[in-house]
Amino acid sequence: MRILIVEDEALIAQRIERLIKEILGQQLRQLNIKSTLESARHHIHHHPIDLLILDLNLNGKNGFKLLEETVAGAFQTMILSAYIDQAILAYEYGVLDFIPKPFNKKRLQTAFERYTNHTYRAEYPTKFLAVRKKQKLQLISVDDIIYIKGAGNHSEISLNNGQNSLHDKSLNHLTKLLSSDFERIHKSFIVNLKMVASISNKYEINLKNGETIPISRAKYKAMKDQLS
Amino acid sequence: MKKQFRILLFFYHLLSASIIAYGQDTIPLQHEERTIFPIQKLKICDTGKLDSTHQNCQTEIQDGWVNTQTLALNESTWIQASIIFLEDHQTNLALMGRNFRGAHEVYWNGELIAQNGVIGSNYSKSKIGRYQFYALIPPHFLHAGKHHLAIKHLKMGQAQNIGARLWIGSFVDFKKQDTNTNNQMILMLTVFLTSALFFLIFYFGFGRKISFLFLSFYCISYVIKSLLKPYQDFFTPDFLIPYMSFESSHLPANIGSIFLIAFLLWEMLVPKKGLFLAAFAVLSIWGYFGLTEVQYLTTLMIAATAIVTYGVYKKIDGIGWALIGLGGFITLLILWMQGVLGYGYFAGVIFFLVCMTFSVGQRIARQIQLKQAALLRSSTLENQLLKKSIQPHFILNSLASLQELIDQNPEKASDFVEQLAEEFKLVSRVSDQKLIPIEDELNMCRIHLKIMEYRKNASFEFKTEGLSGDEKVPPGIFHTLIENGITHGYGTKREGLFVLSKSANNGHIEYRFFNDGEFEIPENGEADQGTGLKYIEARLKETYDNNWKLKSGKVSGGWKVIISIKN
Repeated sequence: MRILIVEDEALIAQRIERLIKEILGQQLRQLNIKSTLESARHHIHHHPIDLLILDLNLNGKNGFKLLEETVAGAFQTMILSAYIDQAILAYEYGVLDFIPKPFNKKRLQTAFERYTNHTYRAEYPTKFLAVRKKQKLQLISVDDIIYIKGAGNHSEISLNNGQNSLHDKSLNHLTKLLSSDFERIHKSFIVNLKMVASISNKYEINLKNGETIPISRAKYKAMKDQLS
Repeated sequence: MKKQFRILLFFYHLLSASIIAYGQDTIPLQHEERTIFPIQKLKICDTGKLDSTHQNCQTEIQDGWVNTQTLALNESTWIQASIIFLEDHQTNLALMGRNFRGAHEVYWNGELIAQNGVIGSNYSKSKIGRYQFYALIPPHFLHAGKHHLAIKHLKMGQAQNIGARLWIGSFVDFKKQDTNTNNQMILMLTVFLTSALFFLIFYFGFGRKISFLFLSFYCISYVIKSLLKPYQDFFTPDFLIPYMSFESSHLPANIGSIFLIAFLLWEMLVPKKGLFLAAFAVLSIWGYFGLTEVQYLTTLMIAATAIVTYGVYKKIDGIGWALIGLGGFITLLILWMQGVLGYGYFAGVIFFLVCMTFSVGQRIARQIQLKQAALLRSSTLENQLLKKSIQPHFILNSLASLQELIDQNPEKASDFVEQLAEEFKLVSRVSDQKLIPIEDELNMCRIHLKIMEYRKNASFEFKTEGLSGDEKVPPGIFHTLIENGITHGYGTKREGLFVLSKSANNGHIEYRFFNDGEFEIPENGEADQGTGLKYIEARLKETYDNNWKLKSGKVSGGWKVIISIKN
């Protein structure tokens, strides 16, 4: 696992580093600590990571501006913060976990289990997805999503206004962040159940906008039951 | 508090207004009934001679009200008049003399009909008479035709000189008029007493402002005047000081005027007011002996106008009411002097007092508001400082650091806890104060730096220059600058220098606060830095009003904040 820690307090950074090494052991491939957001940005730009652990001063809107930027990335983001009253809002922006300070080893362990467990769903589902459009970040509401199609390491989001957007996260990552309204029905598809019109016998789902997307055999029966 | 105060004010004004209205209503009694007539023309003859044949002294009693001619009785003299009754009179007619100071014998057609005081063979055997006296005209002299009046007047010691007046008329109506006057005086007394108590309550209730006490004393002097006025009219006047007691009611008015001037001097913030007041006091006491009531009151009004004009020039708070009050006072007083308004003098005083209660009331209401706002501001600032040091994120971050220290270096952890406790103790001790010794402030800074050294594994140096050690500063201002500096300037830097220097030049004290942090344009931190600076500005405003300036900005090699305070 490649991890980047952004923390400007040396003692706390030291603590995170020590505990992560204890928890992950051999699984840890790379661990970097940055104390400013600028250097963190630079690092992310040049080195792919899997997980960002961010100490974010969420006191004020600017904190969320930054969060918007990180949650748009391909990696998962975890917040480690003393601003515990901002936790729900952070989840709604699409963070995988919010670890309140102070924290112990057990809590960090839980966080890593959430990262590795494929069936885990974030405590509070995200309300927005940050997508890149013409080099600019844009927040889209998850309610506007019809389905998401996996395309290699990133995803293609189909919106109910007929447009498509690209998102840097993989379907695996996204599944964890989205609410139970979103179902992984295929290895390449996540669908918004609210947008499903019917399910056909050809292992296909008819959507309210007239499109059809495939459904895997494994999911077919369960979906059929759920919709009838 | 404010509500009760307004209700009190309302009732006071209601009372004053009704009394003025009642007074005005009852004064023109004589006009309507026309049974009391002033004697217009009198002849004053030399002492000792009774010239009963003088024909020029004829007075006709006419059907109509005419201004009374006043007599200046400065010498002992005979006063004579011829009076023609146009018809036979059946009712009891009486002669009323007023403002005659001395002893008198009244003759009607040569017959002694009344004595006021005693005219002895020499001055020491004489006894002063009443301020106002009656002489009943015997029934056998009530027939139509010409009658001769002669009054032997012995001038005795007196204070102010008011023209004497004579009236002839129905005795019953005279008595009615007296009762009226008496009742009015009791009403006046009530107004003045209420006002005196009112301003006394203001004095004790609102910061012991001395001018309220002056105004209260002014009212009390009119209470005394109102008490004395009927007394001197109807009783032997020498109950206070023999021979000087005629206008004893003017003395409290003159003394009261000193308090009025004092009130105005203090309210209008006149410089050298003590000196002016002393001069006016001397003038007032001398005026009691040397000036007539009208002359004295004119002097008083000129002085009062001068002071209020100064107030207008200086744009004193509440000057509007003072202007209205004084303007009304002078107008009513002039009407009284002209004889148009019987109780113009008292009405003037009351009008002025009512205006003052409005002015004072308004100001006190505003003061209460300001005080409450200031209190609120103070407690908000106190809370802000307390909150800063016990902000959840500060505590929680510190605890997270502490966790690591406990695991790795228990001894250091113990030191760290001690520093944290020290900062909390200091902050909670100074937060409710407006100014604290600089040493306390510096200690807060040092301890905070110590805590941050632990947390950031950094080393911070704090230097001071030019401090004498006895400065006082609002709590938390430099502490806040240190916090801001660390939050925004030491992301990667592990060493820091903070310098606080003080310099004083031409009436300004300047605190320069510098730190060598690396400041990028604080994209994410701007809002936070703003809160800190806002706190500092609020504290400065609370303590120094508008006599301070704060500049903050990036300089080469760090960040600099300059706070300059006008002495």
